[in-house]
Amino acid sequence: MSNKSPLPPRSSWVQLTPAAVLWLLAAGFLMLTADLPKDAQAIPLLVGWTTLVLVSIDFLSRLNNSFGQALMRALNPSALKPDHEGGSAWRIASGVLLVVVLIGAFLTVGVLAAAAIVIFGALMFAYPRQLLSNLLVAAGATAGIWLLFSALLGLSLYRGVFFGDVL
Amino acid sequence: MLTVWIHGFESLLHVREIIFLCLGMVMGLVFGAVPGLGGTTALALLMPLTYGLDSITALALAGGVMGAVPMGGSISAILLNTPGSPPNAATCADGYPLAQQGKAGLAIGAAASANAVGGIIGTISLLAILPLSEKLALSFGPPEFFLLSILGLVMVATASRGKMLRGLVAGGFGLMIAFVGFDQVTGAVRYTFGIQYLWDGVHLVPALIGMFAGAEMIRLWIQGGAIAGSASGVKVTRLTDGLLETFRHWPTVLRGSLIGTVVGAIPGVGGVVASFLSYAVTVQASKDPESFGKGNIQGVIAPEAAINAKDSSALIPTIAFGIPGGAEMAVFLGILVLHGIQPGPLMLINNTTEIYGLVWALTVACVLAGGLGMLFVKPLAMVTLIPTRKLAPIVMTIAFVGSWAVDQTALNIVVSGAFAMIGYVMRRLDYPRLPIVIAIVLGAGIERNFHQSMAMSGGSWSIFMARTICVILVACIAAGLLAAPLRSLTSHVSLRRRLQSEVPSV
Repeated sequence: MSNKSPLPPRSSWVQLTPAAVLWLLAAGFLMLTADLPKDAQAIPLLVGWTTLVLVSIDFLSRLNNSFGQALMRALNPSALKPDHEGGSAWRIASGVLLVVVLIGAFLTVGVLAAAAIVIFGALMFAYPRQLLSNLLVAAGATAGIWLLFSALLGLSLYRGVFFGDVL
Repeated sequence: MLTVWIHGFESLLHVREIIFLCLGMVMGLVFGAVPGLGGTTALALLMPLTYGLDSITALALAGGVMGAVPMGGSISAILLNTPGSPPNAATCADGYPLAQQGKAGLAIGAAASANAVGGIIGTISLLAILPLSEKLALSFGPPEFFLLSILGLVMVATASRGKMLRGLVAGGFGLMIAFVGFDQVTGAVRYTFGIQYLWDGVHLVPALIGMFAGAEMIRLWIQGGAIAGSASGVKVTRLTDGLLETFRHWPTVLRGSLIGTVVGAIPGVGGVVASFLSYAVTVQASKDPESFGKGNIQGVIAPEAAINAKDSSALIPTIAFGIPGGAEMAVFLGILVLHGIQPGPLMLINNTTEIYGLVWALTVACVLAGGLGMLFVKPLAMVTLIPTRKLAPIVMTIAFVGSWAVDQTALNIVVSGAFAMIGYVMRRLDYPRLPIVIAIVLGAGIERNFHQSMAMSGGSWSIFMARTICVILVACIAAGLLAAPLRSLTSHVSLRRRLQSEVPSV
């Protein structure tokens, strides 16, 4: 009988990609650090190399062999459990898109217009049949933002680059 | 000392402070009751709004939130079997069975009074320990602070259960982010790519808002549905009986509070460990351990007392050493920085009114939030029924406007958005987020203390082993790094032995 504990099946490139990307980021950081004056690079170099070593170990622990599994068991056992985070690729993309659209709208059309457009758009995306309710919620939320930030805190709300404000 | 306590209390006795304290409590109860929001998101959202307030008012607001969140979390845990925040999960074990037996009021009343008593015991411990930690902190020099910051980071990384390696990786990248901008030691400008906005470094408040509020809203949006299934069967009676239960089981409250106090003072360990440890110890100490999990009131009292006691003692490393022990404390530290208060030994000397004002605000919130929570049990339970895809865009928009409002810089929104996505990706890829935040907070101090230590020693690393405190701290760092892998290997070896012994001999 084999004594190996059961492991979830792992496809190699999907499993290795995060560590590979982090490895490249750490290496890039070290390359940027090399151009700095000596005193300014002391701690960043230390941190950069330490992180590169740690990411390398993370990479090795993701390999689907006995060494990788032993590393994973010792240093990162939670990764052996199956992924509990659900969500289809479409939903994940919509979540990321929500943030991107929100940033874009804020910078271009300003706070109030962005709030109204993004909240209404997001609600229509999630609940396409509830037009009136979505409209009311978006208007209410936008009014709340105006009340809180402009009326109560006295801030002059950002109007966006389309309406003459600068970044 | 008594004068300082009284002065701190007096600082709260103004209409404005009381209003903001109550506002914080209401927000804490609501955010505590809704799983996925919690105290960290509430504080992250409130942080920019405190900008126009004076420091005492801002701390009263923060104290109100922090003191009330556990009560909100316990209500949804008991009524809906859905813990508002992770530490309240321990309350579900016996709270929900009690609710199913028609004793929800008993459980909520007990949770409220256990919260209050736990908070008071935590405060008393904090008041006793703060003067001692002041003496300890003042005896620290740059080498000790450097090592202490590293220890804090290691503790936070290794305390991410089963994710030590990835916690350390996250900490490393957090430090890299912390090095962005103008280096105060050498005068060099680093990693800004010519962007003037980054000369001040990656702005802490927008980063915190993105990492916590933003990332959580992305998660809720993707998750969809309502947070809790149904609140149709909510019946709340016998609240006063519940209040009295806590005092009938005073050893459980005391034990839970002490566990919470000790655990809370250790960076990175957090409320989940405090509540489950308190629950486990109570089960072990009980004469009737089989009754737990089936509706034993002590199973509600023990974790709830621990959670609130932990909140008070978690302030010790944050205030005395500038090392936040958890996500909520990291955001709270952001509020302090926003108001020009630098956490660390000098805060213990220069900002006593703020510190004791906060301590009192936290205590008052712990006590009053129970009453407020009991008054609004049903509406709070209903909040958890709001569809997450309605909640997420609204909260995210408010959070991002708040990020802009910190210093009215539009690029703050880009930072919040970037950190929201980083936070969500980290969550999906099983990298803990807390180490990256703690590293961003500690990075500048680590570098400054390192350079000062090197200047003191003429460039010799031996300064990090020169004094007893340094040796102790180095030993703690080594122990922290070795403990998690050794524990994993030991449990694996024992599992293999058990499996081998279960195989019938041929």
